[in-house]
Amino acid sequence: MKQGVYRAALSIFLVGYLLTGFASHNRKHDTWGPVYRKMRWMHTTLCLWQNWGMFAPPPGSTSWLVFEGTTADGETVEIEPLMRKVEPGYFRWRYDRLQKVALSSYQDSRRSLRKAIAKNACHRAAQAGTPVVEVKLIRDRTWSRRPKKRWADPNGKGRHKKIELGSYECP
Amino acid sequence: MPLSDIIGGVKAVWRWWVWFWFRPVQAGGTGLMRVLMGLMLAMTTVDIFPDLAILVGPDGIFAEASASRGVRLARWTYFDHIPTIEGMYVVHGLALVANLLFMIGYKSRTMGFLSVVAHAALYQRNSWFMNGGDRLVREMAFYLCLVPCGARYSVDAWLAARKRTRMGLRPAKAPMIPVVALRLIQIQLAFMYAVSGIEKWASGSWQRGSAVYYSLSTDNYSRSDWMVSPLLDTRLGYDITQIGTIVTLYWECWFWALVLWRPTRWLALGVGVLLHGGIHVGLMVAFFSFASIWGYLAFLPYDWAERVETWWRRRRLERQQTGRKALT
Repeated sequence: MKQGVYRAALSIFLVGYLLTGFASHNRKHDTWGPVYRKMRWMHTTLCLWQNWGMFAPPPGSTSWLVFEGTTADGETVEIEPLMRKVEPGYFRWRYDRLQKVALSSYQDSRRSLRKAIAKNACHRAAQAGTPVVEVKLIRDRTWSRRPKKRWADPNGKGRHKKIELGSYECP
Repeated sequence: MPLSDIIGGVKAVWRWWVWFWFRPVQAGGTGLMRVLMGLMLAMTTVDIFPDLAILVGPDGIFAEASASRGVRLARWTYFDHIPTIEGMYVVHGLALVANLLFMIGYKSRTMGFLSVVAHAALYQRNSWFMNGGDRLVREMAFYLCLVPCGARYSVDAWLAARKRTRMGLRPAKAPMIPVVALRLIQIQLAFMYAVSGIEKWASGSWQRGSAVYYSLSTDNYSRSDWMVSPLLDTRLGYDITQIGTIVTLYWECWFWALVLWRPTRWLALGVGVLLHGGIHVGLMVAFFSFASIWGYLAFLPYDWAERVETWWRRRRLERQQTGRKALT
């Protein structure tokens, strides 16, 4: 009896879970799109997403998120970034989760994340003894060079650009 | 069609379903996988400790507007209801205790579920600091909890054996558990590689063979600039990265077929170990490589742990006998 209930309950879960996984990759399909919309709570509630892009496409550049704070008297100050630029000759043991946050914030649609990062930067600036009234987020981006250019000059630099991601008032 | 035929057909389908998902297999392999999974969960929890305040703390980085909307199916996390960072450290410490108890197998399934809940609570609070490896760990841990994963190599198993001894009963036979967790892990890996392969197939860099070169070129992901520079700065190095790109692309697309067919299974798993080893050495991907290689254990013969145990015991016995002979 106990085994029967276990098998039946788990079978229902398995069918729903596998269907949701399949439907999540066919969201634009006429049949699977509605199935996904009805069933996606299984993924959202349990946090069992099935997005596996994994370097498709690969990153074409190196980006660092930098902060520029403005104090109450209009002075511009630098705020400690989530992760500092690495120096040449680096080696890292540990996966840096703060860098992952920074990398996630560059997409246009992620305004709420950038706002949360800015709010935290305000807090850290105040803790460091330099309270600011506004924080500007800047993406310091250097593109990877094409293979042939790199072979010709291994120490050369790729195209570089600073991109403003927005200014946020401190709470 | 007569009703009896329909009922017979349904019964046949159900028999196949039960065989596929619930057939009993030896519990040793799953027991050892639980130990390793517990270790990965504990390492993740420890890894997050130093940055906990900034990642999920009251003044940290999280979607404030979403948090203020309270508990919903899409967002439930106890971190939204803990007002101080001290409280969060305590709860995160308790999560570590649950991870370690899961690893040693005390109240295995309960501790496993608690570990998954703790992991998901972090994700719900701030999903942006977690990567695919974290997700894989969470999913695989959840699958393990669907079966009695503490039936072997655990405190639970030791307590049960001690209880039987005290009651004067014979030691229990090697326990058997449903195969469903191993099946889900197998399907998860095959699905993950297939989806990843299809997405890579549509990417120009993967088609041109330059994807591994560009992945290693970025200081955001590269483990070390001096380690990868021989691959990036020379024509020969680039050719090697091209081979790596092509092998990865085709292997991911066809992993499901290679692993399904017994003669190519070892090849698929061997290439996977090499690729994930290379990824871990060259790129910062957290626990992704460990979790993937861990999942390969589900593709081994179901009694692999018992076979290793028997071999080890026999070897120990032979050594003891050789030692005795030498003494006499």
